[in-house]
Amino acid sequence: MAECIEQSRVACALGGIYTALAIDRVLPVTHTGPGCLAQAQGIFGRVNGGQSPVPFEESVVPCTDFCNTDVVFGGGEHLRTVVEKAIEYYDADLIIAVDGCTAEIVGDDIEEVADSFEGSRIPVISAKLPGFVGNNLFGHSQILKSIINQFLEPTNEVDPLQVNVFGIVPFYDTFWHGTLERLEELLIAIGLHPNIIYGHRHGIENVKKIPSAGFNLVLAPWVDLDIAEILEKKYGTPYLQFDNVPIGPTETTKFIRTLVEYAHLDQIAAESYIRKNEDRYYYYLNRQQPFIYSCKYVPKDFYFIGSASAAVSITRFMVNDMGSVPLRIYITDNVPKERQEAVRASLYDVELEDKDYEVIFTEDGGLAEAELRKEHESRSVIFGSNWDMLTARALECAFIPVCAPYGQTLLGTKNYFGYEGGIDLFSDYYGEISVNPQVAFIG
Amino acid sequence: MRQIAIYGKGGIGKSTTTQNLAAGLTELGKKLMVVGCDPKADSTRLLLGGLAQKTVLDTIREEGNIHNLEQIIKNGFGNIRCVESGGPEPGVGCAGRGIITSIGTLEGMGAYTEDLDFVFYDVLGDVVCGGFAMPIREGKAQEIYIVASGEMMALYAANNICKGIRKYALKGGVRLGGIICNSRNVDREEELLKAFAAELGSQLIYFVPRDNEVQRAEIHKQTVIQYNPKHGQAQQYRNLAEAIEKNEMLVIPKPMTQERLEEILTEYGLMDNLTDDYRI
Repeated sequence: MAECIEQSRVACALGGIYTALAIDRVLPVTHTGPGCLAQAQGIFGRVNGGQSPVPFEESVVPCTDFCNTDVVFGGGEHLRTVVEKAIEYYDADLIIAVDGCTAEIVGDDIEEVADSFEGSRIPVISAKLPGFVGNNLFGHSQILKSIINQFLEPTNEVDPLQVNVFGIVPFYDTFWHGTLERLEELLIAIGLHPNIIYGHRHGIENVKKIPSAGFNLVLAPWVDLDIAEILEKKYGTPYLQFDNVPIGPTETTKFIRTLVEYAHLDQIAAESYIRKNEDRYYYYLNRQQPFIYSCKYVPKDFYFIGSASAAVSITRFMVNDMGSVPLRIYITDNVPKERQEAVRASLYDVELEDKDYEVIFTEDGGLAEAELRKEHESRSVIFGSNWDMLTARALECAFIPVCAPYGQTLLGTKNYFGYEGGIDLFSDYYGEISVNPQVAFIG
Repeated sequence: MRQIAIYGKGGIGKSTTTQNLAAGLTELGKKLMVVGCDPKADSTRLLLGGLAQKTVLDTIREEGNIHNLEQIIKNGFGNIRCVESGGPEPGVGCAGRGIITSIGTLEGMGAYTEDLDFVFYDVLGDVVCGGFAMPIREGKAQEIYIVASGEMMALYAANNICKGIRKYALKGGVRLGGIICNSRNVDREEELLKAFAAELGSQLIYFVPRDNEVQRAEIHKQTVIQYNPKHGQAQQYRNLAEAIEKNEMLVIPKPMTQERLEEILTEYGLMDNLTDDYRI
């Protein structure tokens, strides 16, 4: 962890409950102080593209309101009461009792509390989310591990074409929902049976199906590899890692071919799908070319500030498809040391001769601003979060938000996944360059 | 008002010493309050004639709040005001935070009245966490006395406690007033304690000899001064009270390294025959 953090693009471990909230009808019960959830909400909720969890919005998440008497006397009984009431009043499929820093320091036994509800109307499990141990990605991992270890039942029925999708962290990956919907369509189109646990109408039945998958797909450079490893050990399910959420034709085609080869899918049908979609992608690009030619100035390079996952996706598309060059990449999500080399390798795995850009691992988003303000000379593009908008404006750079917190706007189904995502990012990129008077201008 | 905290290894006799010392000070005409800072809540038993006190934390737990000081303060021997902080059930919650809450409550309710000459905090064992350092933080107790004996573990603990005192002394006004020896009749005990205290830059303020009259008084739920005021041991505690009343040697202790501590123990023979003479 960084010694101090300015402009945080991560939340504390409690931010992990957004993973629970992304699974339909899963209700977290928080054994924390009243302000803890608000902190995570500040990054993943309203200011992250106007996203609120459904059906359980943050404001209805039961909380023990952990206070001084809970510290002194222990808050276990308090949590038991709140879980009891949650079972009584909420219509949910699974309750996850989570604690935060203070309960962990005091040593409340939340596992015992959860276990005491065995056989209740709504199953109850527990997850420990002390913020002093890790950030929201640690919390995300803790939630998934709790579900796997405390809720899933083993199965003998395996569907070789069923693929569980991991690596996309709900809400933290701002575009998670739209991405998962498009990804699901693509996986079906090439002959797989996708099992996605997050998002609209994806709930506990999808969770229960996790052990029956033919394989697990991890779409990230490092996140969720631990989950895939656990599932491999526990259920013998192999996993395929593709190190990013593909954007545009180069990565998406590579992604499809990787899946076809790995899962022995219909190659002819897949190639036909690729041809059709690549053709569509270039058709739209051609339509927009005259607009690009009329831009007085087109930046040749970019900065990235944000998550490792988004960094790989954006870098691959910007270099391989758009012909741009990274100037510096700041990875702000505290990638574990043992995974950093793999992330670095992914970020240099691009079609570029001179890879003289730096990759910096830091949770301190303020560092990026300080360095950019000191060193930046020419107009460029900054890919980042809402934090970076003012820096971009000050440096006369174009700005494309791609990470949480996304900003105070409604995101809808927006995402940059696949061929269509490439068209959308291409459009947003040149759209920003043309409309932002400080960056470049239409002649 | 002098606020004094008494620390020392668990079982060394802090509560017994504090209460007998308090009884001695009342005979000098001083007004006192004794605040027990131990979840076992047995710091005022001898002054109150038994565990007759409802603790601050039990009261908060049962009634939600303290409405008046009579709920938590009882007058004991010599009109000494007695308070027990109390604590959570063993194995749950945070006793350290309990002490912080308890002292905060006493302050908020105005328990520290101007007529008091001394407030004593009888603190559990070692300074295990920030909560148990509460009496020496934020300008509360300004003087610390450590109860020790010639036993190895008592001196280890005392040295550790000095590390805690030093930490708070550097940013606040807390000082070590001295070491009180509660004798266990170990060979060359007084010499060892004097050497130990000198190494810390402090003093052995008083050597309380071992005497079974203390145990007899305890069985009768009284201090020696109350139980048998004419006994020689009662006079020892009066002497201790006088020594503390007159003490002006308040220092920032210089805790020693483990190696140096063991050197001193070796020098005074404590390490020679551990198997025969290792009493805890």
